[in-house]
Amino acid sequence: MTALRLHKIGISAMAGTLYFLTSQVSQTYMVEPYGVAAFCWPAAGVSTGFLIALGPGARWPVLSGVIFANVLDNVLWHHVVVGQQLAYVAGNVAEPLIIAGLIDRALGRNFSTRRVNHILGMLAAMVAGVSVVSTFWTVIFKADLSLSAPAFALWENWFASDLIGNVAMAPLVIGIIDAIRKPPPQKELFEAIAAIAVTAAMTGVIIALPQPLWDTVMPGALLFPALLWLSCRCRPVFAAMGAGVIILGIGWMTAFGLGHLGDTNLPIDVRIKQAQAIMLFVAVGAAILAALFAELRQGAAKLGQSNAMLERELDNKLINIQAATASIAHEVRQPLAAIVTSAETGLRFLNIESPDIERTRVILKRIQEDSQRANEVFKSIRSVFSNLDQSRHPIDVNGIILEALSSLRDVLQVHRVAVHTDLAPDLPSVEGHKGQMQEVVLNLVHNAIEAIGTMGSQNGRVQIKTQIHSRDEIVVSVADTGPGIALERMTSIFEAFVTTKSQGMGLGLAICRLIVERHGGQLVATSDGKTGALFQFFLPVPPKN
Amino acid sequence: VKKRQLIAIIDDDRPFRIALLELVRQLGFDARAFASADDFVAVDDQAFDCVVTDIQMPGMSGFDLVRMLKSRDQPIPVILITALAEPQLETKAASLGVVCCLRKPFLPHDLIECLEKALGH
Repeated sequence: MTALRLHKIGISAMAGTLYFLTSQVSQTYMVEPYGVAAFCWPAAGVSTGFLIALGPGARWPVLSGVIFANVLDNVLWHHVVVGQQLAYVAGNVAEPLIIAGLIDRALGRNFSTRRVNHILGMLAAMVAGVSVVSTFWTVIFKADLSLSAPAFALWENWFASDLIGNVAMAPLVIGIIDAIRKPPPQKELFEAIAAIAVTAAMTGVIIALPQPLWDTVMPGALLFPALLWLSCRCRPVFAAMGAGVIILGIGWMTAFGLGHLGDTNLPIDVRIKQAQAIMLFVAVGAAILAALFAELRQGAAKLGQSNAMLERELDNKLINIQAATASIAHEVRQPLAAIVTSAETGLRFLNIESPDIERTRVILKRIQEDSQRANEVFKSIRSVFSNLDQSRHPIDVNGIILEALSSLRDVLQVHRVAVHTDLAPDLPSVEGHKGQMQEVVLNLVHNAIEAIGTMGSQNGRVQIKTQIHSRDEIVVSVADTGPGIALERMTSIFEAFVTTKSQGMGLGLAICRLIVERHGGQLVATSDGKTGALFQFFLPVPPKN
Repeated sequence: VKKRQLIAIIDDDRPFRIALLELVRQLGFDARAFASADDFVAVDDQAFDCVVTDIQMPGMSGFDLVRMLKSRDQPIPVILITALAEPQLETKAASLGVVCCLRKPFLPHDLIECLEKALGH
């Protein structure tokens, strides 16, 4: 409880501090002709970013920080009446609430700056939230101050100022929070810092450009390469930082009368409009570009992964027909050897002076059984391989386990193995092939029974457990009280068709692993080599739509 | 009357173990069967005249058993049987001083020859 409270206080302090610092930068943009607003308000994006990144749970910590920073900012800068201060605070609190609320409702808690449709959704939510709050302020200020400025001009300025702030800062804040949770590799960090430095330098060059060059040299041409580099090579947070640098530069140009946007021949409202247009285009462009490239990179990474998997499969002995044939042959040779040997014995019983018909009958019966056993080998192989390309359906893993256990009831009884199940009642279904999954469960439980069998003890135990491992993964665990697996055998047990089994089908763990991997999962074994083995397979849960 | 020779049969594959036990008995030997080399070692009172064993088994392997038996004062002749397809098994078996190495499924005639060789008939 105390830790949670501390955590909330920390969030509040962080959000408040960042909001306050940003608002102090924004105060330098206080050059709009009516003197009631900064023409760009990045602080708005700080609160929105925090709310989107941390979710509704962090609502009050974030907003209390924002309120505190607002009050402090008002005390420091505005000497306006209390009513107006209240209106500002109310608007600054309502805006991120509306935006984050809309995003939460439309996109759920999976918002990502790496997805183009999420970025577009975020922009729409921002336009809506900012419109509402700008209208609110316009009404209040017009009524309260009786400003001479036309209502639409006031509204327009607030709208542009907060929209730029949101679009520029929210992705940055979301990205920073994400980067704290999952830090980027050092290489990406250095690369991004270098590219941001280039962006800053280029922004400086633009500020210094003499008037004629503004018409002849597209400033975009100078900024575009570095920004493109950031979007293309680094995660979205760095593109947002690059955009932030440009926006800061453009803002100061306008505010401090530098370069083209400081041209006093142009009326201030025209310069502000120009600056706002550039800022908005840069912020929106950077966010969309970053998301586009993030999607591309994700696709490329997935492709690389599946390519590596394909290569591994190719290398794997499993795909090596020779190895497969050898191990299938191994499985078939067992019953075949028994058949040949029994046949010889049978012949000898018949070849003696008074043929032993009764014993020969028993032997012939055994030959029949062994022939059946040889046939089973091929049947099992066919059942595994013939279905590999079939379509996927939602499957209930708990159900599969229960079915497998009921089909193994006799075997379990004969070996006197007790089974304990601990199946998660709310286990989500996975996409896959039921028959193959059944094969995996049957194989693992069978292995466990046999491992216990080698101990010769009468009270072995198999424990089967299903759990939700993470939001998008479930895990099935099969633990036994057998002798365990020696460390040196840990890797070879997954090699194609390796088996030390005497009974039944030894297609074994290689097939299990193949099936689990084809379902996008992973099969792992752990053992101390003494007190049993634990096999676990992880399966991805398809995203809900 | 000369005592009948006692042969140990070790294989983890139960149907084959039983088939081999019956054949060897039918051939006129005494025989006992074991599901693993460890089981054999546990009861071995050095009364066996020959050991016929599988190579790949849970626990002690056929090769491990050969090495163990070789270190005794009076080594017991061993016949190895395997379902493995590895090409070098015969060479390895020979280097360990094994009498024969048979691949499953083998002809009964070959086993009889090996037994005769092992028992010095």
